[in-house]
Amino acid sequence: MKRSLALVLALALFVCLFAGCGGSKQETPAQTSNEPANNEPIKIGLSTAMNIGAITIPEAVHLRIKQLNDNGGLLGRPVELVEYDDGWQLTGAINASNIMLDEKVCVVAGPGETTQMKAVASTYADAGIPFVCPSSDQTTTEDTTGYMFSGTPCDIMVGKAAADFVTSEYKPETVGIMYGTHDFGLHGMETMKKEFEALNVNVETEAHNLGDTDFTAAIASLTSKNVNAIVVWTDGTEMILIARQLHEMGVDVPIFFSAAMAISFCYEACDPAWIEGCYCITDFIANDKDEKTAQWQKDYKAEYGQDVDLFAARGLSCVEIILAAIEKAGTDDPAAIHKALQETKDVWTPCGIANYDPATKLMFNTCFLAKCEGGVPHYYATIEG
Amino acid sequence: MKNRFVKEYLGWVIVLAVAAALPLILTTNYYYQLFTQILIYTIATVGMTIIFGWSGQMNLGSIGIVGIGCYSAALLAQHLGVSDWRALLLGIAAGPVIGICLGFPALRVKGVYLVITTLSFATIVYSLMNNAVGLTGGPAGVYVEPLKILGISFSNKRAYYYFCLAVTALVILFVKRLNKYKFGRTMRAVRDNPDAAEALGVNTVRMNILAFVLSATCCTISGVLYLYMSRMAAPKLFTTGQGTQYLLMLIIGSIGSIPGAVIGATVITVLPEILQSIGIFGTNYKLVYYLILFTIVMVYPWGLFNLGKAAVAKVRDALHRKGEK
Amino acid sequence: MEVFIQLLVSGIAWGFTYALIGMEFTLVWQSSHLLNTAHTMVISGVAYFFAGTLLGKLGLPIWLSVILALVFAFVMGYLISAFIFNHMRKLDIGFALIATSIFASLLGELYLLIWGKNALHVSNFLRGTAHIGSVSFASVYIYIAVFSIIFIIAYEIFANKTKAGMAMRCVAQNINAAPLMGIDVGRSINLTTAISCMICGIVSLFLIPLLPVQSTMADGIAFKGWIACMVGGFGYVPGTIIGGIFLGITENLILMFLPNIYKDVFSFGLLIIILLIRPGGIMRHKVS
Repeated sequence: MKRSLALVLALALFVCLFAGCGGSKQETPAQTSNEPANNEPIKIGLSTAMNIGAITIPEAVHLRIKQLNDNGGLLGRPVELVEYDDGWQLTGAINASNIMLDEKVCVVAGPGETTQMKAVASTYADAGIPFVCPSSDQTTTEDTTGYMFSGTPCDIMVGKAAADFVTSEYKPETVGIMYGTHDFGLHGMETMKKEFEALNVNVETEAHNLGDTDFTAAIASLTSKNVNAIVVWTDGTEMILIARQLHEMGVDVPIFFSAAMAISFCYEACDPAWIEGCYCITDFIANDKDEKTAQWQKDYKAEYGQDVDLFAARGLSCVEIILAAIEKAGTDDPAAIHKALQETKDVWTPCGIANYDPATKLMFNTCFLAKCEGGVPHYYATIEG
Repeated sequence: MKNRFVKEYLGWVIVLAVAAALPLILTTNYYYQLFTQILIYTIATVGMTIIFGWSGQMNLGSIGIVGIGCYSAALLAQHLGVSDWRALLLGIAAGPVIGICLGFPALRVKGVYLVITTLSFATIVYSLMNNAVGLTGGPAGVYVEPLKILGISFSNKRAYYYFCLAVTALVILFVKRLNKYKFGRTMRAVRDNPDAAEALGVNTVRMNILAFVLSATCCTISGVLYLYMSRMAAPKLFTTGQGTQYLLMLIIGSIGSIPGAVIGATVITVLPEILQSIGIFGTNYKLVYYLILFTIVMVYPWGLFNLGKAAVAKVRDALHRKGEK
Repeated sequence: MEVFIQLLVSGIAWGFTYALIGMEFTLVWQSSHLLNTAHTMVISGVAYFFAGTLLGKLGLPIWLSVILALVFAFVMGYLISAFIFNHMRKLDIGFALIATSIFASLLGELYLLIWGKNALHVSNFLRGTAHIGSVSFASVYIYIAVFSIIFIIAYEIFANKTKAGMAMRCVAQNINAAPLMGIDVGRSINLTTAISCMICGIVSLFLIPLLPVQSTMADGIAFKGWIACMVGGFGYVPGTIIGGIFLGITENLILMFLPNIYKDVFSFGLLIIILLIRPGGIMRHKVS
């Protein structure tokens, strides 16, 4: 008994010593061989899910940093990404935050999920490291630490823009909102409901869980209440099912989808007939409205063989905002970067032009509107929230 | 008498000493919180050892119980406006209550049916956490202030680690003492042959429910400690997918042994971190992680602790035979 | 009334899906007293293989792709059985459960490596709308129902009239006595697991017009399939079918009275109550 316990102890010690040899995973993407000898790299942290379906944030970030370093880096210094796979989980984000601080990064991109962001806010704030999140949730507007920044259009603004657009275009009497019960769906619904009611439009809501496979009851309930328009605010998988069932049940009022419909896996899985003429309100839609967006789409396709999508756009937006702030600050001192982030102005991102408003804590005041034609959502307009 | 006592606990004392010394050698917040996570998972796995290993009742709903403990403490802390011993106690107190609530129905539903019943329980708990927005704050979760007991604020991560270490040591000590004597033997007798146990005058109903109560209490302790490590209670933490992690820790460690629970929790928590930090696997380190676990389970399904014991026994035999020559 | 029929049709279709998964799960249990918890990954693996490799990369015609996908499913099942089940057979069921569970996670990571992060789809495969009166629904619902009924009949014939089927039932009744009857238990288990994975493959193909192809596509459905076979009476195939349809219809009709988001709470709550009242499931089947 004593001997086997000693073995246990030895194993535990052994394992912990191994952990001691570890630490963070550092990545210096595609360095040019003639790197200046005494130029310290600028360390930017990346806390995100590295290998989970649909989350293409790492791809977008890696490509951008690689291009940056190939062109001489930032402020004449190479940029080093300190990455940690947080698995889109709370515990992962906590471990990531600790590693980022140990590695002395000057700013962090991520994490991307609401509860993660709330959990790590005080850790980053206490250390004075600002972090820019690829999350559209309203958490950034509720943040009290002052170190959390949004890297994408916020749902509060997008929901308001959606409600304004629906009302101005169609002047409905009653609107039906189908929403998922996760933070995106719930908060989106609350924002839109508030705005619709402020514009004197009645609202009927039907909630569903992620993972539900049948929406007959929800759709029937809305049609029985004679809604004049339906807004669907949920994730891609559910959206495909809902689009199909709306079509099958012969619903012929205008339908508006949230950002997921703009992602290729979602709209390509839908029959063109299901989504013909439907609108999609999103923080990103593939477009060639400006040169930079068009070029990015080409480069991404060349590098990865796939089209850009929502998450890639969000990831790149965070990085663009961060890089602009570092450039503006002229240094990698976190305090200076923090100040520069608060003064973010006219920064190009695929999700629009970023302008930080300290009063509302919003980084964007525009989002995109797409219209589905031939089974593909096309850029239709840029709307304000 | 004294000799036996020392012999039995010397190993654990050494482990405790190492655990206490580690934060003094590896001195960053990352290690403090990682080791805290190991402690938290150990307590939950000990709970599962009781119900799975010693009582033989296949309860896969433990993650729901952990969640109830976590949320109880979080909601009280939010309500009171302060995180202190009251939130802690309420969270832990939910354990025996849930244990009794689950223990009685479990008498009726046996074997594979109990698995599905407890999994359904965990799913219902998750669904309520996520959807009863008025009560639980919905998918965005509940945020709490750092733990404050008797004026000491545990916002310092190293201090909190020592707090958790003390709690874990107490839990392990308590459970070990229970297991060693009549209580543990009786529970295993009920597991192996309930009819024979009844015939010998054992109250099998009481033993089975007690198993649930003990196991649930360990789970809620784990939940409360997790709350103050992360300062968040969120539904995402308590899905049945997360529950599989505990089962993994149980099996990889060795079902039915406390050292096994410690080893399992350590390996499952630390191995992915090691693989990620080595860096050579890139983003595919999880693939390697599962490959390693799969190999372990296929080659030696009885867990690492039993593997260690078998290895030690073999070495001892070999030395013995050498000595005889 | 129309809504009621709509919910009923959808409930029956999904009920048959749960029943199919429940049946293949039960088949494996019957033949080996083990459980294949990797079946969710078999379903998504076949879908990935079909959409990504056969149709996508190789551009094969649909009929050939369907056949090859089912062969792929069969082979997957055979390998799982030959390597994991025959190894774990002599041990307690918990080991096989966790081994297949880890294997499932392993497969999930492998799929990401092979087919990438984005979900796949197949346009124009089993798409279409069917009508009963003024009620419309996806045509694939009909295919699922028809296939399920044919399968149940075929299974009954197989289990009761063929040598292999009776061997399987013999193993299910008494796994220790079976070899004494000249039955090669190992081969029986391999064959049954392979067939059960082929059923998974067929379910997978039916799911393609409904859901995007990703690792998690079958998780919720498979869980309900497991519930279906429990509610009906574990280890008893006719019970599984009843359990599946019952679950499918109930969870939909409940929505006529209760808010959508508590569907899970009520379905699973109902399941727990049923199991408490009749511990052997609806058909009162005892598990050995």
